[in-house]
Amino acid sequence: MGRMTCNECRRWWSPYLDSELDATKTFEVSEHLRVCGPCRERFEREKRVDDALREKLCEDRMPADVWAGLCSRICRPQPVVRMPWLRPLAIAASLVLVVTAGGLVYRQMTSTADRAKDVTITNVTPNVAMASLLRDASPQLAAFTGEEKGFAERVADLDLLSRDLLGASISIDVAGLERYHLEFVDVRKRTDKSGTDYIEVRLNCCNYPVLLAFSERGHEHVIAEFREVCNRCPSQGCPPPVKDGGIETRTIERNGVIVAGATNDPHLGEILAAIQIDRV
Amino acid sequence: MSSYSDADSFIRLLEPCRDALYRFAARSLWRKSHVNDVLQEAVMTAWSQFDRFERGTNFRAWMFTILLNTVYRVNRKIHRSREVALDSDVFDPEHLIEKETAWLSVLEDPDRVMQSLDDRLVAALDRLSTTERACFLLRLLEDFSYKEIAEQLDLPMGTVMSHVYRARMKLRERLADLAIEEGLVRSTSEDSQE
Repeated sequence: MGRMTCNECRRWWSPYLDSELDATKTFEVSEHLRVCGPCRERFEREKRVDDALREKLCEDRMPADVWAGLCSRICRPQPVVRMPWLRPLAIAASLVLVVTAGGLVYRQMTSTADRAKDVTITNVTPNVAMASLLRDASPQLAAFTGEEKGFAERVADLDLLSRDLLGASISIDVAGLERYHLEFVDVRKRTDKSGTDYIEVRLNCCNYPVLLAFSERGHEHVIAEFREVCNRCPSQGCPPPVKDGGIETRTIERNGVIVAGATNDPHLGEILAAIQIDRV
Repeated sequence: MSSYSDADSFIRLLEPCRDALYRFAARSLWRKSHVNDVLQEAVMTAWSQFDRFERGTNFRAWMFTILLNTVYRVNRKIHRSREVALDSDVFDPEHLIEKETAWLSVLEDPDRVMQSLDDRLVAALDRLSTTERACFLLRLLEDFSYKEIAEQLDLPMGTVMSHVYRARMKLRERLADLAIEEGLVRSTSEDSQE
């Protein structure tokens, strides 16, 4: 095997740079570069050109909104049959959310009916009709917002309202929830039938509506009414799991504030876990 | 129909290569306005075929194959008359010598020249055909082997090697031109006039 010339070496520098030569050719080129200073130096400089190109071309990152849009489309479910005649019922039901209170506050109430039970995590039987109604109601949920606001601004609104109404600071930590394309649609003070104020939050998670309520007073009759509305829908008794389009509701308690959520999105647990509540 | 757990799995596999897919689309499409649409089409095509993807195999390579097909299809619709001239093999010795001399000047201080050219480095890719770009970018940026690139593009390995080599040569020619334009190096014609 004769020694490789400079011209021959230069023929192979591109695949050599890419480590794509066979063992024999790699050895020949390596040997030439070992003994030939000018070729070795040229090869090093050519490599630096490649490195600079790579560094420049790798600067691009996928914009966050493009990624969120892709995730949203991937998470989007199959369309379900609409039942427009149930829409008013859906809106009414969507306003009725589970609220409960800290144990001490409940005991202070005179009415037995208003006395709250101990807070527990509850699941309502999934209801396919309610799921489709909530999904249909989603554009109207968005229509409730009088102005466009970003997620952080709405969280700030929630915090202000909760300090005023509940004596608590509430925030939502979205780290780790980016893939769900969470949108904060609206936050407002609501009053239930008994005249008690609570906070209602409307989110979209992968384009599914998520309804949350925050309160520190118990309203058992509201919970019962919500469940009754669900059970009156034609598709009652549809079996779980939530993934087939049923509604899930859950209730948690944190620092004396009760949070209840209702949605047909399967990530309610993660959303509730992201809510932070501190007494002020 | 894929379930939510499939959507989660798909997104978890897609997330680590999202930036690579984006920059490949951005660098290989003739029109930058097509990037988001092409990405969306490629990702949704992959999602629709996710049940056919064999778990445990190379998701990144699979995803890039789908993206490549989409890029090719979109680029094919755009007529690139410039490409004919650039791919011609007109042999002009003086031209080649001038280019080689200019390039040697660049190589005297490649870091300085490359840094000065900055965003114009990216413009140098315009000289490459779709296939040359694909081969070069997959090799340089995404570290695919010639064999993997050959499988993705359905080409012989030797052809991939040639494309990568030609891409490097064309880029260097273009970079030498840019360096002369920017006054970073002198052309041989300037030298001979002195």
